[in-house]
Amino acid sequence: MNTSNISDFSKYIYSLFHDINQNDLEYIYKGDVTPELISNILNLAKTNLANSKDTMKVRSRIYFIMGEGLQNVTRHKDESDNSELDSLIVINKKKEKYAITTGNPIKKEGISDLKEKIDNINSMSVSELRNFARYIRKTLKLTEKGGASLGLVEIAKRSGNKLTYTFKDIESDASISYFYFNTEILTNHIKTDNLREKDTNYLEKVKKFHEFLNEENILLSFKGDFNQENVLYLLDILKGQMPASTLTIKVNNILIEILQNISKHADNINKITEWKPGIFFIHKKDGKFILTASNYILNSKVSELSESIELVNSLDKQEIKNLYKTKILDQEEEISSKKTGLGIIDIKKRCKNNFNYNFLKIDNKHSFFTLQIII
Amino acid sequence: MTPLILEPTADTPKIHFDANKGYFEVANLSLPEDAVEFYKPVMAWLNEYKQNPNSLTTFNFNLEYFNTASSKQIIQILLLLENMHKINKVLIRWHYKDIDEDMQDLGEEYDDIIDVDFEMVEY
Repeated sequence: MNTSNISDFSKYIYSLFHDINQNDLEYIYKGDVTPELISNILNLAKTNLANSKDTMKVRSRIYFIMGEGLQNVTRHKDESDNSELDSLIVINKKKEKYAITTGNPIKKEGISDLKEKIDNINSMSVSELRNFARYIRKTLKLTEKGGASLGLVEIAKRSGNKLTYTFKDIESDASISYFYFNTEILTNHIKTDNLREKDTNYLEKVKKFHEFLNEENILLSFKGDFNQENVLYLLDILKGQMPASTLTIKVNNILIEILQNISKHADNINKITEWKPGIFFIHKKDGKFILTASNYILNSKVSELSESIELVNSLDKQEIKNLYKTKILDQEEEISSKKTGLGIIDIKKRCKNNFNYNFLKIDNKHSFFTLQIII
Repeated sequence: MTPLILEPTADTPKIHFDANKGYFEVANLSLPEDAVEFYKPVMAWLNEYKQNPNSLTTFNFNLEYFNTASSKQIIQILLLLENMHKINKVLIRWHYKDIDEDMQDLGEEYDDIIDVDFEMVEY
């Protein structure tokens, strides 16, 4: 897979995107996991939960499990001294199923202990887990480790699922292993006393996907509804992820335009007007940030949009400044139409690079539009 | 004139206009989906102030970032101030973080477009 070839990359993105449904969500983060990041991710999940049709009880269960799952990553963080090794968070919602998957480096010497702990939890019934949780609360002081243990028990108990996990060796460091951990929650889950077996394929898929993320150095990907609230959380997350510099401020400014562009212009193939499905990637290559965003667009808009991108691409620095000036002073246009193109003019002015773009025709009505900018 | 004070939100700026104290500030960030709607009361207040402005209006833009939809509204504020400047003096103070090249560039560009004194304030 060649991400620098926009036509190939756009086909790949489409393969990840095409079966999205309303309220589906996929959020992938690779990097340092901080408490601020966790709270932003939880907020992002919360807005999506609030928009879902799930009952209050289901929502709060999902929210709790997400919080516990994400906190596990920070608990183990200090164990590895290797700062090169990022943690991974994948939150996926597909129809009636939420999946929260985390990946983080841990010391190999801790593996057998961890395995024993999880396998022990998996061998219990829900009522046994309830007693076990009480026992831990009573007898153990909530040290770091005790807290982690209780967290796992609570996750198993509330999700009604066995905990699935896997490990992966790391080439660069023989003392470290990646620990992948997955929790699934069914919104239509029927309570039984026995924990259900889970499909381990998903975890293997995530493991593979993590390799792709590492190869391409993808920092974040979001697939879902690009409403204003989600856009603001994404901006917060990215701002926290990149230390402030002239370059990252530029990246942030351009991100705002790219993300709001999706929320303004994205079309929708299943006739639900109030949601704007889109997918977005940010990766870092050779010291440069690459932003890629895709969404559906009506075929009838394709020629106008590609003309305006071509126009902006053809202009030099001074011409862009002049066009910016004309557009910003032209008030009539803003009120009558959204298609000022001021957004893309602004982006080009800031980053001074041309856009890569691609239209993939989906059917008689829609195309899949991908826009990429290198900063 | 009653001051106009709008507290900042996750996507709209802090607005603090107080004619008696001679204090005018737009701060934080501005990313509303509907910028025209948000700036309506802001423009209305300024239009009223323009009828009888102070002899000197020092106007502070202290924004961390804003979207292009907001930039169209900011230009409208600047054009109004330019108009006011023909009779009563206006000074625009454009604040930007030392590492924020974009915000500095924007201030310089708006300075070119608008015929009012701009003071670039690095922080």
